[in-house]
Amino acid sequence: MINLRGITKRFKGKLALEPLDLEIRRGEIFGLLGHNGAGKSTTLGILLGHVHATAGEVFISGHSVQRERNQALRHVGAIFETPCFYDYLSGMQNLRYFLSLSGGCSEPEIARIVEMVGLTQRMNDRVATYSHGMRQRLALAQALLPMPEVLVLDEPNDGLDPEGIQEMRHWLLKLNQEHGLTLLFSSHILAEVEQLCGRIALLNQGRLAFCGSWQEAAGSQRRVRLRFQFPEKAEPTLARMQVRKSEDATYLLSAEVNLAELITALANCGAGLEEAAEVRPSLEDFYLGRSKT
Amino acid sequence: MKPLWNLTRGELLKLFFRKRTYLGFVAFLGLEAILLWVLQLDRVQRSLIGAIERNGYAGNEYLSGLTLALLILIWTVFLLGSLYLTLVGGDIFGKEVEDGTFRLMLCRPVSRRQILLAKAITCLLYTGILIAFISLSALATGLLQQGWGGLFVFAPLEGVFALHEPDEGLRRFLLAIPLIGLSLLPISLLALTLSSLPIKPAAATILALSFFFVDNILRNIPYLESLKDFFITSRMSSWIQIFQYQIPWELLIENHLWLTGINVSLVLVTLAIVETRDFKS
Repeated sequence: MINLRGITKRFKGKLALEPLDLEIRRGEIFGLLGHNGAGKSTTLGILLGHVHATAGEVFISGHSVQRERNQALRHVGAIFETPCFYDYLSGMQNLRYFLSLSGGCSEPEIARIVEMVGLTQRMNDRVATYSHGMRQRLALAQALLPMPEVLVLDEPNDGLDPEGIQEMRHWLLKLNQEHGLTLLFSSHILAEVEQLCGRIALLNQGRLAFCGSWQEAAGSQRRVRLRFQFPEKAEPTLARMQVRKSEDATYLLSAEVNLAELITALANCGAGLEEAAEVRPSLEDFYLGRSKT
Repeated sequence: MKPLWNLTRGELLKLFFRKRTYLGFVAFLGLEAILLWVLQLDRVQRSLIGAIERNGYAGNEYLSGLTLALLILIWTVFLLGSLYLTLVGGDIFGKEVEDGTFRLMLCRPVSRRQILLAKAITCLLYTGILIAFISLSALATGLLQQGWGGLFVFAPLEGVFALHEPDEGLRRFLLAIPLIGLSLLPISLLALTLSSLPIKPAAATILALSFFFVDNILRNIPYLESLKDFFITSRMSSWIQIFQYQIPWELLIENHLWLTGINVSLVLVTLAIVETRDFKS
């Protein structure tokens, strides 16, 4: 559905995004993670044609954003961290204006989307009178009104209260499950990404640090909690099996280590193994661990 | 063509739903009221009638609504007009970028070129509408106050002195309106160009205004008389020549071709900036 092929961005000669390849499949919810300045917004900016890539190309439904912008963006909706509208126009005037740029939409469809986001009663009020939550709902309606196949969400939960975040999550899941929308979701709220996204990409200082499913992410940083009576006696075995002690007193296992073999070896090395339990890393652990590398 | 039409219609909707757009209209109405009051003062009327009579004409016949309306235009249209034109021209692009709505526009299947062309057309239409409003409201209030009569034109800086019969005077006055609009268009477009740079909309407005004020000051310095043709405000002020007994069409066409060239260049420069610029949050 979305293909990023070797996209690179330099700002004033400084590399902001190293050659990035990503593929987002039709119907999936894909999370783009990274701290501030990691390159998330630049990536989304290139994807939406707001930012010119220094190199590389983005394809949406087979159309190049760089070369066939109109076809590529015809079925794309977007929401940004700050819902921006013309405050002096009503919600409906805003919707109709943005919709007119996409070629329009039927009246029943507009009414259905407006009702879905719960703004029917306020659509004729000026946006200046809207709360942040209402603006975000209007942003969702705006993004859904070209009847998109892809929804790009850049930190959509910023500034929303917990109720608003839950509401947004509910809508996004509904849109994905019932209407098959492909969602590309950028956020630094890790719990949100964990609950929504099937696959994630982690950007760190403009470089792709990880791309895969949440299960793969968890598996890529296996940890085990170990407790010994005589820890010094366990050290040669741990070193031989390439097990490193981490800062939080757990042990990091490389991908090749078989946990059962490790426990057997530690039990027989005379260190007095008292506890051996695998620790499932949270997305936060994963995120922080990868961001440091 | 349809996306461009939709974009332009949308730009006009946004422009005329914003209260600050009407600042210029309200300010001009207020100023016209003040100037008409000033022109009603005995002392001022005597001075105007005296100027006409010294040239051998009947002062009362030419001190009319038409004459007052033209006087108001000559005194105000450049100074106050440029203020409101740069205000709108500086906002039309820069404010959208600043507010983040431009990024939403860019998410739609329309090109940057189409968006910019729609904005340039909106600048053109706003300039035309504002100038038409200023001119016609000055004419209406002038006629209400002073009544129908001949047109007395005295613009020493531009070398224009003429008296026209009422019908001819009205015809010249109406002909002058589109010429003034075209003459002031570079002001709106320079503000648009500057607002497409990564600077605050207010900075674009001030820079554009400063440019035209400086240009106007320099062209009025007697020592720089020989360089007069190089100042854009010299070209812009040529609309007054339409009131000469023999209209110097060649001069008017030459000046307006220059101005059209400047307008086209400004749109092309803005297009180059907008096409190459990155729009990030």
